[in-house]
Amino acid sequence: MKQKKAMAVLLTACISAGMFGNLNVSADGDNLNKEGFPIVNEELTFRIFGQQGPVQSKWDTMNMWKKYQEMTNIKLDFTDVLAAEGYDEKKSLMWASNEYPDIFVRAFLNNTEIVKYGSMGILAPLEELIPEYAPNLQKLIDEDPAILSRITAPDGHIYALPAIFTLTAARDDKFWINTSWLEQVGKEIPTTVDELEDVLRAFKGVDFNENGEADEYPMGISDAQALIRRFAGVWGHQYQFGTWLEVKDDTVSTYLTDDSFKEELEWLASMYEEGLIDPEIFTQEYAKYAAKMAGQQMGLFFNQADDTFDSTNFQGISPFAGKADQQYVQASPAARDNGVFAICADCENIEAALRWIDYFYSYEGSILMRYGVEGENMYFDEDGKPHYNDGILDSPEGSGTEIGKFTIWPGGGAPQWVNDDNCEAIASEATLKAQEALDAYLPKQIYAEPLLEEETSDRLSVLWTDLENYMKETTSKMIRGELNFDSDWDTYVETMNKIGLEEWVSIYQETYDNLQN
Amino acid sequence: MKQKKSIKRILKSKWQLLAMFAVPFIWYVIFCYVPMYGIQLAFRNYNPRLGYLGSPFVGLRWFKQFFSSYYWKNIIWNTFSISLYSILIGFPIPIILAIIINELPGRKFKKILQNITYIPHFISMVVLCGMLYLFLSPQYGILNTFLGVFGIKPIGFLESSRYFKGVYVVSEIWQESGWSSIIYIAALAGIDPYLYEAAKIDGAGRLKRIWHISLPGITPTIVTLLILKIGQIMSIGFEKAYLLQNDLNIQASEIISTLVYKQGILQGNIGYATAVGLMNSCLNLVLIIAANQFCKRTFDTSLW
Repeated sequence: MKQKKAMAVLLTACISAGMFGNLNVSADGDNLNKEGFPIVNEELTFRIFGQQGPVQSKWDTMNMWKKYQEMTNIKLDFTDVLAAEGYDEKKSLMWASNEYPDIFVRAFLNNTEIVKYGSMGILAPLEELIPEYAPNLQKLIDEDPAILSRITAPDGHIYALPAIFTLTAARDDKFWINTSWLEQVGKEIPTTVDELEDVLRAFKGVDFNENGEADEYPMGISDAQALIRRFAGVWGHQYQFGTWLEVKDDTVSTYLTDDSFKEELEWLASMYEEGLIDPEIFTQEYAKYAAKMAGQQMGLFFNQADDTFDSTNFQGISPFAGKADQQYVQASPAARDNGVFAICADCENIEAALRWIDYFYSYEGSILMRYGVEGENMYFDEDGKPHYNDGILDSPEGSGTEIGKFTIWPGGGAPQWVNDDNCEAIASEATLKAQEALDAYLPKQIYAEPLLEEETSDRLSVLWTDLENYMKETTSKMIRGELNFDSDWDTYVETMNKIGLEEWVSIYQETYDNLQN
Repeated sequence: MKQKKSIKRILKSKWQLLAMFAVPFIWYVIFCYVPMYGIQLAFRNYNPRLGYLGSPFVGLRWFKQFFSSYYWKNIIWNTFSISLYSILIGFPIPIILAIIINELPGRKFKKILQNITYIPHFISMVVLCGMLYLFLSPQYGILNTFLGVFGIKPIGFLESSRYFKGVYVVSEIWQESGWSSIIYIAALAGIDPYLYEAAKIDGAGRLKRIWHISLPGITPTIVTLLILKIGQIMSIGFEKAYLLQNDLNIQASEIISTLVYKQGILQGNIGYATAVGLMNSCLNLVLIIAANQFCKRTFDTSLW
């Protein structure tokens, strides 16, 4: 009996000693180095939640992570890094489970999730820690304060961090035209909508690849909605807050029911009727579009860069003039992807986690993220500029897959800072030149999708689900000629108003007003 | 005292039956009754930090959210009408098929016909939907090529809300009729052959025998299955509707279960999804009770 009691006392002592031991470490902050590497003296492990992109290898085999674990003395547990297939479901289940990882990396947290789980106390608020523990990010924020409004939740907290693109070429889709086709039909690069019509008609029916099949399309795009967006810019409309809105003189408005929008759709419908637009845009999967790009089957199409096709015969051109005084290009703000990194409130070493991520917002860290490890994946040239090792950018598997073997950015959504000096893979010379053609058409101020309070966000989601479903179906039918503009346009406008278009706009107006104050 | 004894006696004498019964009973408790605890989430704003009972009570907020949506009538109607069509058109077909198979002479031919009609049942839903996309494609689908022979322009069956329900119901009939007919074939086999012989002697033709002997013989089976079918009217399979859904047919293809999946599992609006699901179950319960009462009065057969 006595022995048993002694044993119990001993055990209790051990356990409490262990507890106090732990407390000491985190309370003193002794373990954490405020500057330089390693970040912690005594080894730590972070459980990491994220998505392994479709073109990426397993994260635990990546050079980038191997090197970074050594540098920081922080080990990573990759058990919760999940495949892209069915990822959204697993993410929702993770939220509902009340058992969370330490950090979220490339986890595609959306705005609703950030606000919802931030306010529930699942994500740690970071705004007070950033100046002290994330100096590199703080520097980027100081240079472009708009980032702050992009990532601050309505309750004033910052629950998740963004990827930052100071390189504009990574934020919009270029207009690629096939110059070899132009040459063959003896036409110049079109600069107005009328000239474009002329060129597309000339492209039609020509067997450019001489395979005897009619598999060439004068104009192609991934899907019908993207087509409408691109040409809304040609008709002089912006695409703000990540949706069909424009901001003029402090007023937010939508053009979804404007006459100019009707004109645009009428023009697209007439192009479609003439067979100048790829008819598969209404149903095709992205892979099919990618195959058409790679196969050089389109005369005019839209893509961010030329990494998916050989751009020797292509040139990036400006949006077509003639339908409005000023053309616009749809572009994302500098903080392009939000929610690429977050820390769970349960994490015992929040400061260390913040220091851990901050490195990737520095120039050296961005090189590790973009290029991998020096010697193994990349080298610096005489001017100190980074380059991928030979055979990576022209890999037969595609440069994305090759780079995805050692870093996590291919596929987007990674915590990274992309600037003019580390963009070799996504911004070839042709892409940068194509961007120059678009620079004049970027809106001066680009507003990102706002972070909204939960109730507002719920209301917005109800409204937008219905508006979007109806708008998508109706506009598609109009372009296909299944609806008549004379009689059905009024019904469309009426229904959009009935569903609640005005209320939808007013939510954004309110957000805009709050941003100004 | 007396009762206790009898329970003991029952336990002793019928323990094999009770043991067998225990398995499904436990299954029902664990998978059907215990999860009902979660229904309260329909009235709460679920916060995993606070748990089921701790999450703030929001009353009818989620129900209001559903009914404030412009398309709620559409969604309920889609759910209801797809089922209704598949009962109206799809329910009699397995019965007819069973009677035909029953009347056919020759064992071998019967077996072949039965096997051919079963096979589609074993095709997985994902594959089936892929097949439908191929068959119905406006560019190279079999059906449109066939219609083209008669000079009919290609029809985008899956790219329009007009044909969606038709495609859904007809493909379901094709897939399930053979399988559903098994139970009727079994019921037909249970009819006393003397009845047929007697009818033959009395000079009844084949149609008369079907009408007066086969059909009355399987009426209880038909009614039971009909009630069960009606009970499932609001819970049609989510997979098929979700897989066949696209921007162009969304007005006809958005049903309650696809909405619940998108809201609850993909977007994490657990309260909203639970509320919609709960409403759906209540509608279902009303329908099954009504169907049962109706059948009790008209056919004298019912589930309870």
